[in-house]
Amino acid sequence: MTGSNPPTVTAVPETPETPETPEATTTDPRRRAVSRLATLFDRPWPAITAAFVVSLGIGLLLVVLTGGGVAETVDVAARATVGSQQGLIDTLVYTTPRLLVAIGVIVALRAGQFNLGAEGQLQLGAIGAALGGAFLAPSLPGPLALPVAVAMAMVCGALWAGIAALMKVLRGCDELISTLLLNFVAVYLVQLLVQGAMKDPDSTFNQSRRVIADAELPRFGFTRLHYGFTIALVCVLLVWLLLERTSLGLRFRSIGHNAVASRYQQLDVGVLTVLAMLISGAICAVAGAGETLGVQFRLIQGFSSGFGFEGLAIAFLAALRPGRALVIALVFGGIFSAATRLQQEVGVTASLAYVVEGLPIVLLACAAGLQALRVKRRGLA
Amino acid sequence: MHSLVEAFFWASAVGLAAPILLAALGETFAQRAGVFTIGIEGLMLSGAFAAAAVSVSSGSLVVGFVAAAAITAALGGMYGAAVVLCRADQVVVGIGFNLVVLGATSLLRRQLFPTGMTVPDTSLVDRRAIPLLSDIPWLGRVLFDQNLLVYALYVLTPIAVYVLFRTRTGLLVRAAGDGAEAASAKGIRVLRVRMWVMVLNGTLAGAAGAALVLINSGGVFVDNLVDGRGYLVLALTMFARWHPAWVAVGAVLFGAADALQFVAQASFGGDVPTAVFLMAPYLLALTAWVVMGRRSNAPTDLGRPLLA
Repeated sequence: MTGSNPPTVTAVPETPETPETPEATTTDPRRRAVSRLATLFDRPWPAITAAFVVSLGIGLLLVVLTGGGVAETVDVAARATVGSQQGLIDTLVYTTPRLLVAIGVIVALRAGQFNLGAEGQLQLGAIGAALGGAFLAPSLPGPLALPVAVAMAMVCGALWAGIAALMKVLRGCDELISTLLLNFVAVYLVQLLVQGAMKDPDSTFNQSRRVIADAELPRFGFTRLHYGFTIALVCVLLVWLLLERTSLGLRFRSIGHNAVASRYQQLDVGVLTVLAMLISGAICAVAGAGETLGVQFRLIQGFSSGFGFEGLAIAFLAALRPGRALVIALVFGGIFSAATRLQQEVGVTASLAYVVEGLPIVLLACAAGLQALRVKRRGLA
Repeated sequence: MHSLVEAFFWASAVGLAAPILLAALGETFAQRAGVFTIGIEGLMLSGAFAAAAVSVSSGSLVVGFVAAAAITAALGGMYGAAVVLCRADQVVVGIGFNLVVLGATSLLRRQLFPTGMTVPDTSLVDRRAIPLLSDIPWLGRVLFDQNLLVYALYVLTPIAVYVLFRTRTGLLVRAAGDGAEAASAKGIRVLRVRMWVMVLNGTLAGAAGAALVLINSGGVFVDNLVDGRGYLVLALTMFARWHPAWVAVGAVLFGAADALQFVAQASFGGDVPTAVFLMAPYLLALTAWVVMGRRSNAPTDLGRPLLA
């Protein structure tokens, strides 16, 4: 909301009128929330672990209530995660899109932009990847097919996030809501395309043509794990470098922490806002590209079972740190893999995963809020 | 395009606006009191599920409706306990809450109602023409040949305006969201006000969810039935400047966007894909926002926990 009408550099008076607590002039209440977010979830590992243990316990209880045995459930969950090679691979496959989304939204959140539109950006990524991989790639030399498809995905996702960023900078529209709404437009856009312009004429299903072999993400050996996982790991490293080791990252964190003070530091908050959202959208789009080029091989409707929001959850739990996000994403991948296996073998529904993933966030957010209250009260006393 | 001025179209628009308006009234109070309820999506979804589940089991729609409102009132209280009493971050709790509700309702649906959930009879939301008034040309069919929920909202919306701007209760609600610390220092129990508002928000969101099952979905509960309407409610509340009357106007516009699909054949020919109509309400919300631009009269403590 502070995007419009920034005071120009020349308007800074000799004695800056910045109040002692510049935050007090910030009109957008959530601006503080974002700067708090990084510290909000900065809980010690025991607390995070405890929250997950409680939540897994409730998950187990739900399985038992719906007729599963404890020993059987634990056995299935173990085999679906670390207990077998197949389980491990499934976990990594499920981790990939969630990790990419988490890394993507971390860039935006660190820069103070509440990008809740990862779901839409990854849908656009899938569209871009399908456009590149199935329509553009056949007329390209082989080695270029995959990079072009991924690049198309990133451009589409970045532009989608850019819409929300421009709406914010030019018209003051809260990105929190605009990105949420754009998610639904994106989902229906995919539906529109697979039923119309991009529909495979040789298929009765609503799906695009298959991406060509050159545009597929290569896989590890004969497993179903594709190189998207490697891309995700590279993104973790690059985003960490960006945020912690570059001046651009410092600027992002600066506007995320205090946009008003940053403006007095002659940072162009509008441009940085757009830039952070573009990068964020591009990374989220890679998640969609990974699903299209590495798992489904076509653009289909409903390929994402809400990765966007799971990725957000991961980013929150990781206190917006890329390294922690990797760990939490692996846990989420494991939870989803276990839930999927439980659906096949025990009969409980896989959406159990959302319950187990969502609960720790609520629990830790409450703990963090109470902590903030204690700190404030101690300060006053 | 002339079917867009027909009474049928606008009557559908008003009917489809009702659930959105009902939830948005609650959300208006919540945001006026400083609570930004992203979890309204989840509250509506749990209301929808509870209404369908109880109606199917008890065979009575009224019981289902009441049960849904009661259950979501309790959920609203729990949500309030997190964001008001525990001072948890409102956006974060909302995201987590929506995930949990989506998971829990889908899980319960498959476990408890494996053959599907269809409400036995939806006659409660059948249209009931008001004698005399419904005979007014055009307007009568649009406004006075509607379901009971719409009539209830004709009463509730003015009451909401009155309570919010003309009563002590409304003043307390607005004080809790606009200068909460000052209000707290003055002795107003901000936390208590916010808790009650969250219970109200939960109740109305739950009833709205129940209405969605009956009106928009023809009595069938499907996973993720609310499908973003909660976020539409959030957008509506904000660009209607936190005023119930504007909220009502905006809700009818959303209803109109929703109703486009019913007149598609007559208005645009048959070749417009359904996805366009599904997209329409969201595009409308985004467009409205760009047109309206920045709001300056936002409650200053919106989204901010009271740290005192």
